This record gives sequence, C-alpha cells and structure tokens, in this order.
Amino acid sequence: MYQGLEDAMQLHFLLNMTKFFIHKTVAIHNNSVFVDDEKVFDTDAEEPIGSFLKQVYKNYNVGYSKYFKMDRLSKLGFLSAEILLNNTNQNNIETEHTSIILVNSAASLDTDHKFQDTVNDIASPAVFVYTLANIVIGEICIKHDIKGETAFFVQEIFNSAFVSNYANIVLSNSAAKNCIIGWIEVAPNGTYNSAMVMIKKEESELELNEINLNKIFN
Amino acid sequence: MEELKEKLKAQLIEQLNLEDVEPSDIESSEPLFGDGLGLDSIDALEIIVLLEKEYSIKIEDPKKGKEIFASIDTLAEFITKNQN
Repeated sequence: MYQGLEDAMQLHFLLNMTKFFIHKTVAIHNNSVFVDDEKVFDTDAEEPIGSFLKQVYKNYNVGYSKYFKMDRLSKLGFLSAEILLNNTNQNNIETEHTSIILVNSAASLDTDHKFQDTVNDIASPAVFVYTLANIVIGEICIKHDIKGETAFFVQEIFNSAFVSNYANIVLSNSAAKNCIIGWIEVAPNGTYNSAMVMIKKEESELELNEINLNKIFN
Repeated sequence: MEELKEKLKAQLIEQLNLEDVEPSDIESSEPLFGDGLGLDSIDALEIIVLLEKEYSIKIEDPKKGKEIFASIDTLAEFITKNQN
C-alpha cells in the first residue's frame, strides 16, 4: 500500500515536471494525405483503398518490396509512419529511441474476415500473420529500426485522456525520447482513416495533453 | 518442363505478392530464399499451400523442403516427379 502510494506520488511528480509536445501530424482519409493539416497528395475520390495506398507508396518512392505483402491495416499504418518520419534526419528524430502507441476500434477485423474466407479452403499463412492489429507496429519498427516501448489499444473512440497519460508515462519512465501516437483504422468494407503525430521533448505550439489530442483525433 | 517453370514463376509472383517482379526477372536456377528472390518463411508456407491447391501435391517430409524449394528448377522437378 505504502509502495503504491509512493509510486503514485513519484508518477505525479514526474508527470508534472516534464512536458512533452506534439510536432508533425499526418492524416490519411478520403483519398487524401495531409501533413500538418495541409493537403499534400490526393487521388480520385472513387479510388478504392488498395489502389489509393499504392499511389501514395509510389508518390513517396518508398521502395520497400515487403509493403506489398502487408494487409490493408499495416499498409495504412506503414505509409502514415513513412510520411511522418520522412526526412527523419532533418527532424532530428532518433528512431531507435522512439516509442509507438496506436489505437483503433476494429482491431484487425478487416483481415480477420479475409482469413475466415480462406479457412473454408486451405488457410493462407500470409493472411493469418496479419490477424493481429499490433502487427502494423512491427512493420513500422522493422523499417525504421524503432526499439522503444510499443502498445496497440482497441478503443471504441480515441481516448485522448488515456493516451496522453500513457505517452507521458512512457516518455518519463523509459529510454524513449520520442513517441509516435496514432489512430489506424480499416473496416472490412474498405473505409479507412489514419492520424499520426510525433511527440517530442522539444517545445512546439501544441503541448501533449488531452485537449490537444482531442483536437487531432476526435 | 520449361512451360511448367514459366507457369510456376507467374504463380509465385501472384501468390506471394511480388509486386515489382516480372517472370523474366526470375532465373530458374537462382535461389528462391536468401540472396536470390529474398523469400521468407511465410512465403515457404504459401508455396506449400500453392503446391497443394494447384498441383494436389503434399510435402510428406518437411526435411526435404529446403532441397525442393531451392529454385524454380528444383520445384519444377519435384512437381513433375510427384504429379499423378
């Protein structure tokens, strides 16, 4: 009991001592890519998610053959991170000391449906490996050599208070110097939506807190 | 046999989502795994599924997988020997 109280006070102390800030934001929805709220790429609104994401991939010259093996959720998360971490050196981000916290409401339901369809015949191992939502984090970590703490939460809507607190704890109590926060969602009917931000210690106009995350994610 | 090899190349490209690869890019003798085409363990499982679905062939001895999957040449030879 005493130890718990001490831990809570220590955490309270740390949370109030250290402030973190929201930097670059990336959003992908309605066949458009936005960086810091500015539209940087779009395609015909009728384009289905698969071919839209392929055009984003080509537009950013990603050149990563394993991209084509990913499911739609991983492709969306991977490309969001790719754009967020674009020109990483210029943004002074040490990817090795970066954490990732992702959230969505449907987990891997899109791929779960696809896998269910293959079970009646011969189940596809390549589809099966994506029947976990947090695989998208693994794909991002492999590409960018990210070794910080990672977590994927399934929440009905983006819980800004929870994610803000969690990111504060991760940045205050681990080796992580930066943290990526994101909402990555693909529904079985092909509708999709992603938003991703970079959190750093360096000051910006937007402090990491519930209110500011709400503005971006809800 | 040459016809089978060309068919296998096309099937691998489709089954394994090798988006940027053309059949003509794959040398029949080059390694499929490691330095060659760069396939991984999940791809190996997909090839096993491909053999079962398209050629009705099951690999009874997993230890022989490495030998069978070495290249398009060895894969085609295995199919030819084992197809009814």
